[in-house]
Amino acid sequence: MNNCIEVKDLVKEYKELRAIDHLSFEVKEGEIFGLLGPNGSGKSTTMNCLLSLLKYQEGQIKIFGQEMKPSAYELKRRIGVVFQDVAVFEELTVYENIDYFCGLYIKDKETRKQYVQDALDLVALNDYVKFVPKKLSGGLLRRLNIACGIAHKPDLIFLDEPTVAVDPQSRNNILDGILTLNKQGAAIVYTTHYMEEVEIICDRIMILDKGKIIAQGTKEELKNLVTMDEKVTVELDKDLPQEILAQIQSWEMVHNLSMRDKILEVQFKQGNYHLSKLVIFLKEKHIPYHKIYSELPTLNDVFLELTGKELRD
Amino acid sequence: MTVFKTYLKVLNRYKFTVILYTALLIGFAAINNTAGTGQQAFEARKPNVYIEDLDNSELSKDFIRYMDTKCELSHLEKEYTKDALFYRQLDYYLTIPKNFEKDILASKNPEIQVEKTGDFASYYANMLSERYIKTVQVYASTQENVSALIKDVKKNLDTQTKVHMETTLDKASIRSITNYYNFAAYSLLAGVMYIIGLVMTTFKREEIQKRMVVSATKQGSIQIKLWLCNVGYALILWASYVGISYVICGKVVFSQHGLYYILNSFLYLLCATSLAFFVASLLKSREAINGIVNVVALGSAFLCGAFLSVNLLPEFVLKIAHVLPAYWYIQTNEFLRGAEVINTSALQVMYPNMMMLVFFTALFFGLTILTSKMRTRF
Repeated sequence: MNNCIEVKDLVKEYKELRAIDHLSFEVKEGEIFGLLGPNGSGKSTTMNCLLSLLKYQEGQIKIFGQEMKPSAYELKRRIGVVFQDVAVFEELTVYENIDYFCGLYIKDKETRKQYVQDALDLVALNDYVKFVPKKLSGGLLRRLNIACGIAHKPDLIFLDEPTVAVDPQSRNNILDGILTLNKQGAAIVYTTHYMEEVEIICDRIMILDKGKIIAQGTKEELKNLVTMDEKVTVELDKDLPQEILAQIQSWEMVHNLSMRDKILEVQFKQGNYHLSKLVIFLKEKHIPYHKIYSELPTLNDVFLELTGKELRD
Repeated sequence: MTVFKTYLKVLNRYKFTVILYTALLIGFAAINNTAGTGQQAFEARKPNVYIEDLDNSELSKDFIRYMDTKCELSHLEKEYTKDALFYRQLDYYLTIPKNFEKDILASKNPEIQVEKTGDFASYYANMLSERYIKTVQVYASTQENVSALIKDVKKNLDTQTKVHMETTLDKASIRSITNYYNFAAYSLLAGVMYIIGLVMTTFKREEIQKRMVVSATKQGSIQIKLWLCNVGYALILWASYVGISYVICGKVVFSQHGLYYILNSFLYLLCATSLAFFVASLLKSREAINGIVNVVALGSAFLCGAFLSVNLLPEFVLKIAHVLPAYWYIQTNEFLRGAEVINTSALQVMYPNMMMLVFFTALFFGLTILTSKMRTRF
């Protein structure tokens, strides 16, 4: 698969602050690429550099094999952008807004009419074509924002936190739409704070912190980077005594444990049969329990271990 | 086409405000015309004069003869003259005293008694009587024979000079068109500033700008189209106002005077448009537009005499108004109001005012380019 984005040694500085520090990565055609990082990690700056909205000090950005610059209009024709802030005309209706932004790419009236209709179908806004934006709910407004960014059927789409502050129904609709666009062949660069969305839709993920790449790869590759493996949770009748907890903690494969409100959480290091070992131990000690279950590490755990902070920090 | 269409749609959302400014202009012009009814034109009539001759001399009879040639002599009963004066049926009551002829010949001032209504006709009658008496007094100093004196006075007062009026302008129409175009200083500026400000801030919103910058259309091309749309809107607004002036003021709009009012308003329109672009380049939010339009358009209209005659404004206000384009625009209108003919000397008065409007246009245009360049992208 060819690369649709190639970034080499990108450096962006704001006076004395280095927002992006020698960043290099590729995005392949047809993949959904997740860009993760806490606030101030450099996600938006990277995106703005890729779109030539910001000048950068060093490095090279190629999109579809061509250098990206403000005057690369032919290249821009193949790119769609959905910014985090809703960018629509309050004076125009839903249809007129999509038509206007599509018109910045597609001059032919008939083609544009079809494209606008396709965009309306994709975001399910057909019932609202004559509404002005202020009559739309937050979720519908987000969907309109997306339709305005992708109506011209781009090959590469940048989506900057498109599901912020939307209801679950709209979020599902948006995620379905993104997957549909991807199935139609568009590569997608997706930034979000919602880890579960990344787990659902992204093929590859890059984690940024302080302008540097902390890790990148598929979900599985990232999860292999962390030292802990599964987390076992046990719901008990009462809190366990200190000597029992000390015995569990002394096991070689235990990474960490906690006992709070009659719930025992044990995080194991990588290895096998952790759950069965714990079940046998509880039986031997005649400790009753209501429920016991095991979870594999999430991307949030990966993020926490790699950056030392929650994604929403 | 996309930008033009979108411009029209945005404009359509705010059309009521423009209609309101236009309605204000029409309302003002209509009220002004109605208020002026009855005193619009000069009425050519002779003053109604009652003369009581207590001297009954040869000279007093000649005085009456002279007044009869210039005035309508009233033959009312004397007891009704007071009421006639009160009801303006009589303009002037003149009493020729006893010994009138004798006093004149003796180079004394006769004690003429008058009662007048105080309006224009009564002053005219008074001027005629004073003229006769002064002329008689001048000739009486060298002529003692009454018949010869009357002959000399008659010869003098009957001398006529031909006066050729170079203008056939209807003063009422000129007053009407001046007031209309003066008020247009407010309506034009407010209408242009409001729409250009709204449209430019709408397209200038950071999120929308970003979306347009990343699009496949050149930013310069969008900006030029927007400028053309705004200039086109301003021209259509101006042309409508000129059309309305024809409906309200009539044919005077296409007289020589009228064409100068139109030219002056066109220059003012250019200035208002460039000012609107400048203000729009400084604005970041649309919420501020109403306030700015009120301060700039309404403020300059008050200070420069768009609503009130400049003659009624204090001198210090007029001095301040010199820095506003509306002042120079209204000065030209006021000059046209008083000008009987538009000749070279009239143009010499008007051209500097018009050049000031051109100067302001260039100044605001330059400032707009400067502020646009100074603005960082995002």
